Amino acid sequence: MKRFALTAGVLIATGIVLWWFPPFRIVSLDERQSAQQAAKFNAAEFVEDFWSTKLLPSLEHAPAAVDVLAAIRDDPQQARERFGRSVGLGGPALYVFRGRGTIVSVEKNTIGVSLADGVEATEGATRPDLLLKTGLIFGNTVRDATGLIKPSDFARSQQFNDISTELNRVVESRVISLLKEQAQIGRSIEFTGCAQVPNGRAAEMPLEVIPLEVKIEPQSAE
Amino acid sequence: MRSSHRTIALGLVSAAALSTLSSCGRSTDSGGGDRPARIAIVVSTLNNPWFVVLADTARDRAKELGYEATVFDSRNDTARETSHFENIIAAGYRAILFNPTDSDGSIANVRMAKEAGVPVFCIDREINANDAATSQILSDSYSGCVELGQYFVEQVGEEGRYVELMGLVGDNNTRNRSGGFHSVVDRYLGLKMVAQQSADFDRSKALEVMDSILQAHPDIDAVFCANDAMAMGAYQALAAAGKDQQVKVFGFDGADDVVRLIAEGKIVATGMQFPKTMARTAAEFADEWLKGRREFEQKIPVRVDLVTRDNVSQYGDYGVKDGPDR
Repeated sequence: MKRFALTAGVLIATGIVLWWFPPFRIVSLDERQSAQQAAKFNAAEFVEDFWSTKLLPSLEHAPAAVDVLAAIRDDPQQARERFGRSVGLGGPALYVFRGRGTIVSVEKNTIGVSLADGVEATEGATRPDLLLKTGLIFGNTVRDATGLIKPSDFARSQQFNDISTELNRVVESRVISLLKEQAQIGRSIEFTGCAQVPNGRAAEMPLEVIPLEVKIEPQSAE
Repeated sequence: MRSSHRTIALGLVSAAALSTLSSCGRSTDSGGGDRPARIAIVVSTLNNPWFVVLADTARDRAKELGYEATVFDSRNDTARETSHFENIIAAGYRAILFNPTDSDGSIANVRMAKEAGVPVFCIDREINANDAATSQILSDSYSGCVELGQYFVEQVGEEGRYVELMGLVGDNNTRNRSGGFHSVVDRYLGLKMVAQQSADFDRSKALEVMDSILQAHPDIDAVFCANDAMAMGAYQALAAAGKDQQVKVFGFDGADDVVRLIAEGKIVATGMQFPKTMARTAAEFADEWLKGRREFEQKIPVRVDLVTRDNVSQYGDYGVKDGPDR
């Protein structure tokens, strides 16, 4: 009886120890496969496909820059509801729009564009309506502005964030490089771009816009 | 005879295990049969004031909504977290508001709850699965650190030597904060990172790590810390070494003591997360789930604000002063 009590005591103690500190953990195959898939995610490949097959085709439906900028200036809340989108709680209002205008300034990190007709195209003569960014591009504006992908599409937020880094690189290497090369005061430009306005704050005007597509009219022969 | 002893022993082990479970249930929640439904709040650690705010706000909001609410501290230990989940499920809690310890290691716990029909709402920290939790309300650490990284370059300049103190290695916030910061700072080739070490989001550990880094690199210009507890520890080490005027410290969280030091000009900036917004939203989602709602966005990023000396007067008490985020 004494031996039985001793054995039972040891087993109970062992059981309690194992209960609180299990020596191994069972991981489901689904979980393991999802981890393996996550490790294989290649943001550059994803972005290459996303850029050409989804993002660029979606720009065709972008609203006119003059309408969006006027709405942002007049009533940011209404502009957000009418033209903008946002991700999550309290995030900035994100906009995509397209327009045509005249280049009125060329600075180190921005190119000023006036959307008015018949502007005086000499340096400093016309205030730009917007600034196309030509410096380094950071953050999630390009990724989030179209609403084509969302955080819930990805099991790991790093994958979602890596997409931003790659998209920004594509914008810098394919759009901004062209813009910088061809921009001259007085030339006409067609563009589609995206911008963000922080939640609850008035937008700083002229608004800084990340260019997604640009077409600069060739210089006319003198 | 031996066989019957074995059967009895196994029975005793099972009884002991069940007794452990039920006693844990009793210790966290006792009452009559008509008591309100219970919600559990499982938090990675209570050894950091930021997480105390997160847990207390979730508990208080759940109580306001008419539930009994209990906070469980995982002490940054996934095994302890697993025990909490087992006990919570066995004790009949109806929902779990969960701040995970490990983005991968915590998935199994969430699945266990899901299989038992208990919805889990992740707060602040993510799990690396989008089919386990009912919803995940997460700080947008990456965006916050992109903004912080841009301010870092503005303040430190395009040339300099800096140190990075990282958080818990298994946590996605550690990776996202570091990733956001480096997506900016690495574009400036004159900025050299001379040391990058984990201090586990812990103030005392950051003090030790910073102290040791300063022995090897006494000539640094800045320190980027992945949370404010580590920023406090790093600042303490720098002050003890007489380098607090020379080295610019950047944190992340929006903890009250760091917000105060920013106002005093001792720490340069932090990213204000909104723990109260996240905790309240999670409690409200749990309430809605228990009332029948079943459709939730899986991942909901919550904005992070850059707090500097220029705008610090607008922030305090873990949010925007007098704003809806408090």
